[in-house]
Amino acid sequence: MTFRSEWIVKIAAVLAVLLLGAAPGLAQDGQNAYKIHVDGLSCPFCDFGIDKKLGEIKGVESIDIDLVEGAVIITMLPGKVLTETVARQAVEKAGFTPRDFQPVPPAQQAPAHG
Amino acid sequence: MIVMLLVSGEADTLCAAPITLNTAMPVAEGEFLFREQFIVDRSADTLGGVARDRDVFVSESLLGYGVNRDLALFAILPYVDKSLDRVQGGVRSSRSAADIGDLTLFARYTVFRKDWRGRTLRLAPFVGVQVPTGKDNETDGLGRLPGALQPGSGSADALAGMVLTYSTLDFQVDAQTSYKANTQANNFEFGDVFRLDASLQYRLWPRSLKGLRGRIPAFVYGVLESNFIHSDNNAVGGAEDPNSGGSSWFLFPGLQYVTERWVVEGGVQVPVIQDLNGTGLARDYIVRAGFRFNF
Repeated sequence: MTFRSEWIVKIAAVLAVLLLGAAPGLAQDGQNAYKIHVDGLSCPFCDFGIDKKLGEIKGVESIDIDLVEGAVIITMLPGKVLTETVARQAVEKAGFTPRDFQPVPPAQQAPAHG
Repeated sequence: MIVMLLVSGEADTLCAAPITLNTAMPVAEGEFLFREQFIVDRSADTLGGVARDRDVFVSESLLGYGVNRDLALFAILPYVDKSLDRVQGGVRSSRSAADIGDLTLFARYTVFRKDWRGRTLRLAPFVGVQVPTGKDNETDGLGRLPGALQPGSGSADALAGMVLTYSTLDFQVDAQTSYKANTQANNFEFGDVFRLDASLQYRLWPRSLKGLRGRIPAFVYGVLESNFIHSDNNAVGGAEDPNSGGSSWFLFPGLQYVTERWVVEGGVQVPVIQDLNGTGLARDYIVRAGFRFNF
């Protein structure tokens, strides 16, 4: 390998690490998490529909529902991503109204649990 | 001659939730909801030297299914056990029947929905039919049982109504109006039934949601429901039975323990006003208890 190509490889590797670390919702172990606010949730029995429809999405590892905030955090399996369109459709099929959707930065992710 | 009684000839209520009426809260697409409710309906009085004692026990099974976010289908099948004892001049006569009753099928569709954070307002009409799956020709030593004591009505009947629901994290209010048009079978026809029902479910526990985050495992609700029921006179051989039908108003205090997957609930329906025609037998009380779960 020439001196120039060696440096190109090193710079590319550094850039890759920086990009991976800065990519929103991407933890160091490659796990994505997303938060979607849901309107209409008013009691624990309502949670089941949300659990069911979001749980049917491929790649979902866990779902946490904050009833008071009206927010749902979806944690994906490592390497899997969730699109806003799919998340919104699942909430609507559960019978509720999806609001804003955003990735959860790694620092704000709680340990994944089932 | 058996005195005709005011006896509900059908699964007394269409119960998806709260306890004695429907709700417009959603059933998710592909979600099933199962509910079992046990009902003990007691009536007793003495009229003209005749002591009358009526007991009705119902085990009512309901299955609901979410076709999509707005349309849900429900089926209700009761097991009914009815008995009527009369004592006149020291002589007791008892008549009873127990079997599967009539199947009720109905569809509920949400026509209006407005959601906010932690609350929702919904309006859902419903229509259905009651199918004569129950036996309607039971007999005993005295011959064929009167229509009001049969497990089934023998007739196909139509029903329709509308329910309005406003639900928040602190309480839920449901209000429903419904009408059931009964038809004739075996020379007997139950009077049509008009109902106005309302329910308030108020969260008793946790007392405050301040500071609570994440999943909340359960709520305990205090429940107060109101049921106004007007029944037209029954008809026997085309002639109105003057000792049937009338208007009643019940209040139903109860409790619910609600989790994400299941609910346990119960209460006692007590009559406030009973304006019954002729010698119609007034209800003493109705106890309801049951559970439901989703899957």
